[in-house]
Amino acid sequence: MSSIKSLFPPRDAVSGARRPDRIVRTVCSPNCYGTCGVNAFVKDDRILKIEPASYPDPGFERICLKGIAMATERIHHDKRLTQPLIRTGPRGQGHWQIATWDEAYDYIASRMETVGANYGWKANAWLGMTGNYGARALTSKSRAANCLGGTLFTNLGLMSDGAGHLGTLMTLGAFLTSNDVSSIAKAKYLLFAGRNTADTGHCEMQFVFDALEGGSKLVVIDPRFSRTAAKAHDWLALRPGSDVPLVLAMLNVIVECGLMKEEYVLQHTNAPFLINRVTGAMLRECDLFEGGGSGYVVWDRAVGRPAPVRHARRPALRGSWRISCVDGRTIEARTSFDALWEVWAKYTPASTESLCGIPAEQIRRTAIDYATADPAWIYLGLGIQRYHGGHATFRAYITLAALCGNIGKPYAGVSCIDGPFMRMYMGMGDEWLAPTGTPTHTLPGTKLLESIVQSEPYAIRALWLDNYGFATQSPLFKRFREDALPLLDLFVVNEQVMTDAAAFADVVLPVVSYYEDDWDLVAGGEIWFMQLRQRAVPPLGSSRNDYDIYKGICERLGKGEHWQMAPQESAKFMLDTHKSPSIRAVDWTTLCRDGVARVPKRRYAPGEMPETERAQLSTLFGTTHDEEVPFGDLRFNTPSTRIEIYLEQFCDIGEAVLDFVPPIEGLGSSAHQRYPLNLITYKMVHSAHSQHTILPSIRELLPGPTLEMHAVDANSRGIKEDCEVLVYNDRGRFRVRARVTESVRPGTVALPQGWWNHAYSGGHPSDLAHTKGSVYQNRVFGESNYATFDLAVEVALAAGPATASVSGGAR
Amino acid sequence: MTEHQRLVIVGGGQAAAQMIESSRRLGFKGEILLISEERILPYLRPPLSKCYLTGRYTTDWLLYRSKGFYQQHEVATTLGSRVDSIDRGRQMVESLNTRIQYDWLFLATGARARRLGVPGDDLPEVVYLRGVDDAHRLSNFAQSASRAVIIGGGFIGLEVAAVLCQAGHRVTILVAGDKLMSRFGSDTSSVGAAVPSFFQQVHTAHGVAILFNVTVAEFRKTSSGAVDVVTEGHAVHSADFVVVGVGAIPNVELAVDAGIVCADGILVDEYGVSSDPRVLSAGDCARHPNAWRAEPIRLETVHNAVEQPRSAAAHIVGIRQPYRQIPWVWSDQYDYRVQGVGFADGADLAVLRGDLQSGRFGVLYFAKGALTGAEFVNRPGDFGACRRMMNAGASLTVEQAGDASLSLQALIPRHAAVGFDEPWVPRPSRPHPVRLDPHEVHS
Amino acid sequence: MSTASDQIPTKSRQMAFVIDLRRCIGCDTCVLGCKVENDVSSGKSRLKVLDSGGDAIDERPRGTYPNISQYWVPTMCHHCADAPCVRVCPTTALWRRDEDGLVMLDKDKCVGCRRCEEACPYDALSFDDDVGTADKCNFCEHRIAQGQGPACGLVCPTRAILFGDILDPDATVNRLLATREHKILRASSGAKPQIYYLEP
Repeated sequence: MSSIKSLFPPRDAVSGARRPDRIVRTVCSPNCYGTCGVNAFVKDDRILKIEPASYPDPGFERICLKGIAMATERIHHDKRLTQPLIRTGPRGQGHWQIATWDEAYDYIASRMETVGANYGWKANAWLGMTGNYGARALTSKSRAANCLGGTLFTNLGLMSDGAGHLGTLMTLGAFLTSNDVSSIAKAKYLLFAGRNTADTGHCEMQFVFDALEGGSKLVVIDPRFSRTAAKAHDWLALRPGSDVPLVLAMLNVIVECGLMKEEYVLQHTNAPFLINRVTGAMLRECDLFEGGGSGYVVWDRAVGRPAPVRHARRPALRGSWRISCVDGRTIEARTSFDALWEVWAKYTPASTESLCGIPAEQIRRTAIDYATADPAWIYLGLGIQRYHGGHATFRAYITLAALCGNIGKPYAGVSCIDGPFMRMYMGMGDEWLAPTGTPTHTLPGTKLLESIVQSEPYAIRALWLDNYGFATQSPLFKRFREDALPLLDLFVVNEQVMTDAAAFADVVLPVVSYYEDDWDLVAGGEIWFMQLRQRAVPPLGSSRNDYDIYKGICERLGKGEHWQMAPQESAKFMLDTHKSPSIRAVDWTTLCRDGVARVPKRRYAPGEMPETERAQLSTLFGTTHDEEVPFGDLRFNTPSTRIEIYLEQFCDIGEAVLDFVPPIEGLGSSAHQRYPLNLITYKMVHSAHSQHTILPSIRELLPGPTLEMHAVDANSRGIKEDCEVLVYNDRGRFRVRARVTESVRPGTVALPQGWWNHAYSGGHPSDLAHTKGSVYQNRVFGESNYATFDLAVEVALAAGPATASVSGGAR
Repeated sequence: MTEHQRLVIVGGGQAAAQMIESSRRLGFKGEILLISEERILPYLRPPLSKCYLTGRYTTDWLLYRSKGFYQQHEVATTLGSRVDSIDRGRQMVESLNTRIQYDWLFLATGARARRLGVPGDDLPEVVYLRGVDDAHRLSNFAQSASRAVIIGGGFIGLEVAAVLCQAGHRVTILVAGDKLMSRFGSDTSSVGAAVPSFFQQVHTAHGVAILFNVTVAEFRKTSSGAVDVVTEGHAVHSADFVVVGVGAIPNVELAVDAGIVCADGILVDEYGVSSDPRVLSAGDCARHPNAWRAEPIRLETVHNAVEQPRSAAAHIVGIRQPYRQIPWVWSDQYDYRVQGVGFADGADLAVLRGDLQSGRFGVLYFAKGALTGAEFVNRPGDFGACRRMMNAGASLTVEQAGDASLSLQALIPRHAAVGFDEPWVPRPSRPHPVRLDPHEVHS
Repeated sequence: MSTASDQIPTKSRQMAFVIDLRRCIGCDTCVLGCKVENDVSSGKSRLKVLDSGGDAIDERPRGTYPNISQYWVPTMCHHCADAPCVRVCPTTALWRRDEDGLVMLDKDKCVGCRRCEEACPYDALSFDDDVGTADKCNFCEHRIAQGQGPACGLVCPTRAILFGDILDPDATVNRLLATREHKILRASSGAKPQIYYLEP
């Protein structure tokens, strides 16, 4: 007889109360910049929960809803891939056979060899993004491509992150170097242009709140009322893509009010340099002085004539003169500043209002507040450069900061994305990336379709993707499926889950989740720490990390000797061979013991940094790399060693002087005439791109995407709240539910980014995208940025049977 | 006003404790006396036929309100005492030869187990389960014995049967009528019989023997210490102990003797007031009007005990708060919880919701297209939704009732949105209000 | 297992939340942290983040473009000092702890009548279909017992959720209340809720 006491047994302890078998410090980090260290509580090889892990310095603990959902729901998600799959039947039909790794490698290797035989080995190509911030995971593809030969597609343009940096590169001689966000409370005025820390960098938002608590003023420029705008003192509801006119109008106010820092401009920018008024070219010493060198020339008011920059005592900022040259010509010369002002003067606040959508009075007030605040910190979001003229937007804000004397000043300047992760990713040592010593061919990612469909510049016939939500994130997937895929002899995808893109592959290779990987390095996004990814749960099924996947193919193709490092070894190797001295200086013992170690920021007095270091780093991170104060020594890796506001090398394309480069599908364009609404696809707090939009608890919080429209635009189209609408242009169409809201400016419609095909009907937003290029960007970088937000669409009430409503979620 | 008054509460169940709580809460400042026959302070009665039988719980666990509660609410409690009579003319009660004056008298005397009155009724092995002492006796028997006979097919009998059966006892149930659970089901259709017949099958499947149309004639102690249950048909069922659950009788004798109008319960109005304006009543012993019925009802359910006193308490402080709650009951047997709300009799249609095979189903009763009541087995969400819906005066259609894939959650009238009563002082408005550019309008 | 306490304690605490509406960005991290810590059923949550319009999912700013504003309000069980749910519960499944004022729910005692849900002014109770009982925030009592804080506060990236003993004059929560304007939700409920919101 069983005991009556055995009835009504006590309830099981909840997840949080159960004793874990182990607690593992590892790193979450799916392309979101939080790079959060987490303590994973593991029981029976399943993650019960995660908690924020600690750091050497207090106050950095962080975690977010995405990380919690991913740790508990992605590893065993029903779309999770655990075995290699080879398709049976036509691509995209969903018929797979489970294969062994050997079978998968056989399949891949034989087709790569056939492609190589028919088209040349470089017809085998690799492309990936940054879905996983683990350094080894991210760079293994490059290693493989470099070992095997073939073509490596670059991704900065295709990921839509490249344009702004191209503006910065020319102006400051480097990709942007940023302030440490944890010090933002020291700035008194925060000008966030397209920067949406609350949605996309919420783990750093606590520092912004510290600033607000300390009395700092926050101004947000954004076409959409983001969560960050909701916290700001002022919101400038900018017409999308019109940052340049806004900034130029602000400059007009600043100069008119006498707030420009003239001395600084004279000393640290090329504004006073003399140019040939007709050709726009800079004058050189050798033009004007017998035996002169290539140095630049200014008008020295102390002596009333031109002088080499290095000799002039009182250079003029403004003025034009007729000057005799050594070759006997007389030329019309003027200062660069004059040339700049000739273009900029027309951007008065009153005349710029309707162009940028900000009332004159608000422009005026913002300009004065910025120019008089000390320190004033400009923080740029990548959204502002996702337009045809994206390079000019960054250039504009840098110019604004420069004319106010803010570049090189503590807690001021212009910041964007920067931190150990960018350095880790972009400065990986050649010994790691190209172990054979010979890097392979590269092609720009935005030219993917041309290379396959038109064989331009040469034919690509095999494509291997990793770390990329290709179907949701790229502008190419529809055309890829229709035009390019039929021409590919091989399409391989490494993935954790069966994405919409992986569904079309010939071979899908299962990748471990972040919690199953071991000994990978995750450098902090905006926090100055290096972290170790440590295995919390064993790999599911036959899944492998990217390194091991590529190791397999390289072994099969006879290049295995470069892939024999154990994980711990390769982690150390990546650090030791890295180009950044700060990365190399990470303390390995501490890192191994604690799972986290500081990435030191070094400080050099002006002129102290060794030239070898400067040369190695300069193109990537600026001459005062790793300094607490970016560009603090006010030396720039530009031809003039100054901030180059005037860019003579772009005279021939009319961009020597910063001017508005309008969105190619913006107001006034032919695209806009037919499709008068501007679609911006913003990043939301609930998902880092496409990685979280399939997780059940995220979908509980946010069932699906809705298109935000202002009432003015909705009413004129007969669209009401929750109606299904058709969004379309020449290139594609899709259906989605509408939401009528006050939080987006009329003329702009907004959609959250990262939802898969199943969240829409009749198409996907990426079908509407284009990859029209910019001459400036092509020249600087060999390709143009994918201008995500430079997109004209029309919206209409959808006809036909409605799909299920996503609003009114069940709570 | 009330600080010079005295409220005397006769009875010691949940209604009594609730009267104390509600009276104080609504501002009754006078003396409160509690006179209870029970040995311990008011306690929860439902667990006595369920988990309390495991012996794992103490009487402290069972208490409805803590000892501290009575101190905090300034109540003088007298336990283990009967009230012998009420003198309405002089507004006094008599207990233990003491006369106690009252300004308000609250009768919460509850009900007692109905006794069979057959020979052997008083044997120690025959347990009429009503109070905590009965439960202790039963629990003791259950630890050591193995054969149990249960008389009665209502909640008490069935719950005890389930507990004993799962603990390994051999259980036989003898039912006087022809079906179980007369509080559930109706004759509307075979659907109406679903719940009682479902439980009959469940018990039988667990090995419980159920016999219908059996009348007990005698309980006989045997020489081995067992008890023989002898029926009128001369059948003999041997048991180590017997549990009897054949209904309850309201304890109205005190009221009847005092001339208060009773009819199977003390008759009260919607404020809990009896035929004597100074005497109120609530709970198992009170027959009260119910908005969902034409005639007053008396129901043995803890719900009445904890809800009705609120109206009575309101009355004694001068607030009119009529009692208006749809009644509901529940029973736990094995892994099944059956919950009922409203009324089945008077219905012209019974709709099945869900499927019987799964053991998760409901029966919803309609009269002229309006929902009058419902029973659910292991569909707690539906039960709760129906109860809340009916309590709020809402209903659902016959189609909705029968569609098990439709969640009833959405039919519950929503609360008003939660917010701050006063708005926050807004941030200083922007110095130059921004205007909308007319050129922005796109057609 | 709940047991009515016998003593009137001589020194008791009142646990309370202080939530900084300026810092809350409505990211819902607290909602998920709570869900995972407490195994809250799919489709339910103990904690909701309302926006300034009182809506949990359909968030909207107030005002007319471009003069609009928005803030977010995390709300869970307010552990009211005079909790309506405790008063209406017929089985004492809901009870208020003397030692720290927390309102606790014993699911073993709950019979799923949902009277508490009806009575709560703050929508704090939901129904757990899996076990057929009510469900609500219990202040992560299992963590409090270990000297830790509730999961929502632990995971909040902007440090908007704080907790402490409102009866302790030195507690951080009291220092915050002394220096910032604050309100409680639906003060007219009379329930004496213990979540204090700092101005947005």
